[in-house]
Amino acid sequence: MKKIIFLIISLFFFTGCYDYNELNDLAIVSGMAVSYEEEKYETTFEIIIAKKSSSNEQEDSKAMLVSSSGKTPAEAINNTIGKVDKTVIFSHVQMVLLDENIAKHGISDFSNYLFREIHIRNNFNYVLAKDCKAKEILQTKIKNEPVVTNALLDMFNNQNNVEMFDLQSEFDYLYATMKDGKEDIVLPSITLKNEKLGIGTLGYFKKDKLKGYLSKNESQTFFLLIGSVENALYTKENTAISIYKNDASIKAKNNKIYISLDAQGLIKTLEEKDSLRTANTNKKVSKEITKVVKKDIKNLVKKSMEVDSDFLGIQTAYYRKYPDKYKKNIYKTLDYEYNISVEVNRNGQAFEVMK
Amino acid sequence: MITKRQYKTIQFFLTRSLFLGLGVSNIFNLSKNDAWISGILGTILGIIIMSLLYYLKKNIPSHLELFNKGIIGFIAKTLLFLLATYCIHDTIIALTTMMTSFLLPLTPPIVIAIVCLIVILYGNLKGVKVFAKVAEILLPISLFIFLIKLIASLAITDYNNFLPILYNTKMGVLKSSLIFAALSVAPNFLLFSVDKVKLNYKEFLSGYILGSLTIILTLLSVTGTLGATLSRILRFPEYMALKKLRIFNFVENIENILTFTWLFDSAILSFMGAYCIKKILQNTIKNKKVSKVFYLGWLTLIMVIAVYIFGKYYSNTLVLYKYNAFILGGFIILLILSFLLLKLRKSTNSS
Repeated sequence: MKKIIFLIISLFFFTGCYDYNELNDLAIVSGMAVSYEEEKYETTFEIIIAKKSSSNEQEDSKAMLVSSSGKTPAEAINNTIGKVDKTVIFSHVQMVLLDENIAKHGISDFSNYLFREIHIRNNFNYVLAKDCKAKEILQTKIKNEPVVTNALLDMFNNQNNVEMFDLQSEFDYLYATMKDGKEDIVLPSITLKNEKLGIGTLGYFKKDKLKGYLSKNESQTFFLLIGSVENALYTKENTAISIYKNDASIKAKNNKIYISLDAQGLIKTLEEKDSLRTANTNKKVSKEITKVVKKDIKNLVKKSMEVDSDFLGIQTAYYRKYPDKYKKNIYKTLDYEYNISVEVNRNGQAFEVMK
Repeated sequence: MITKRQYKTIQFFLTRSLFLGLGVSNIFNLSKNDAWISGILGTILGIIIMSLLYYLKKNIPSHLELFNKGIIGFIAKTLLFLLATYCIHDTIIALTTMMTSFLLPLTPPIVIAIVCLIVILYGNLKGVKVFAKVAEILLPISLFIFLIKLIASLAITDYNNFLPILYNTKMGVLKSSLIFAALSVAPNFLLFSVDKVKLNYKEFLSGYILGSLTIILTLLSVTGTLGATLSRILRFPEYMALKKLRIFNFVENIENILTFTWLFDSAILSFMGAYCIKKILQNTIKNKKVSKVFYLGWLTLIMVIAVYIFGKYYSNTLVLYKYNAFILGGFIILLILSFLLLKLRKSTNSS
């Protein structure tokens, strides 16, 4: 009898049916667009419709957009949830698109809301909508992919130059960086021209506010120093080298900042006169590209000082070594040593070029 | 009577059990990126206290018999009873908070607590031998999951997160090493309710050291994965760090499976705490029925207090969060003193 009672009780508590939700009753948010205008936050959810579509339905009906606004991030999101007739699920949010106006206004309030919200996984990425509205990006129609967020993720993940989204670019790490206050963040951007989406350059911040964008070359150099590159193209006259592997570090030593890069390159094109029958060409090309990269890195460091944004994390590196000497904006007063080496070690199929 | 291996296994789980929720985040708050140092210092301090415990347990077949002798025995018994109560209470709060925050956000905490209570009661219905066996079975699973966590976290550890070492955290490290020692040692006192298992000094410490080592490694991997700032501001850094883990870059979102180790720890602590309460009640109240009713009533009361007083109001949870280590430290000191007096009296009587 005891066992039967125990089994009956167990049926209610251990079967997991207590608070179940049918998939059809869920509105799964895959992406979000946020803007800030006239002192109001506007949020747009891209919701995946989990319902089975009938054969005559159009394919683009698999995702829908819902928008609303409010004076605070919480109010805006609550109002948007209120417009959805299903249970809104945030645990699959993969990307949050930030309008330039909220990025310039400051993203700390919105980030605080997202960070505290237990239903949102913190491993999504922030992306800036460059020269366009974030909502417009979600409204774009893309062939073969009804969910725009998925298409954007594919774009970022499959582009073959640099690794745009790594672990450190996930939201909670960005939040920690902003909270720590020693270094500034950078965010990737997306552009929309003639209804075509494209990857933009990196936007750099000062604290929680967008200050500006790096150029294409600067963005590439940033990834060379901070992230990981797969096909970073550098050219000098007719010679083009693609850096496919990079190992960089920014360290403080003897009260100086040492920026080191050990990269490996692949020859894409060569000067007419050059031949790879001797090792001299490789050495010469390596030397020339090293010079180019070194110059770019120096310029990037200079830019971070000029725009007053420590997006390279120099202050953090200094703090880790000399915590007692650390003070705000110290990176502008330090000496820098560059130890850059690009070794061109892959030549492709041909020894010579056509004359 | 349980075997030597079972005793050491229970020790392993008990050592780890109070760190979930109330322990790890508190240690990170005080010692930031130096949490692992406080773990090492706390273990050293813990070994000293555990050595004292070994001395106190030596040559005493059953403490429950000693508890019936005089006022000191009664005090020791009451203290152990309260410690068991406190440990179960802590576990229910940690589990309900974590479950409602991450795993079952729509489920009311009382439902989770009732499930915990059913499991505790069922475990104790079968007796110490059965849950000791359960612990024995869970140990390799727990260690296997722990190893997966550790190896997976190595791949994403940023070693710069450990720098600077001991800058502005010396006092915090000292405080948190005391917290570490209190949290790791206190639940081991519950084993006083188990009949004597003959263990030598090394065997007696092995479960504790292994348990502490896993916690130190957890502190290291959380710091390496999340960094000092995130570890400090998160409510459950030990869980959030698991969210970052990926095995071979394609097995991800495995945090709920990897959390099982914490659930195992909590389950064994709850079993042990309830067993301790049951034994003390049986030892005090001779009428079996009354003792049973009191046992059931007491566990229900713990659950209600945990859910509706400490779990429901954040200010109360915060009190617990702040003074948890002090309360456990107080229990440790008072229990050591009372056991010492009991032992002294026993040796005087026997001589």
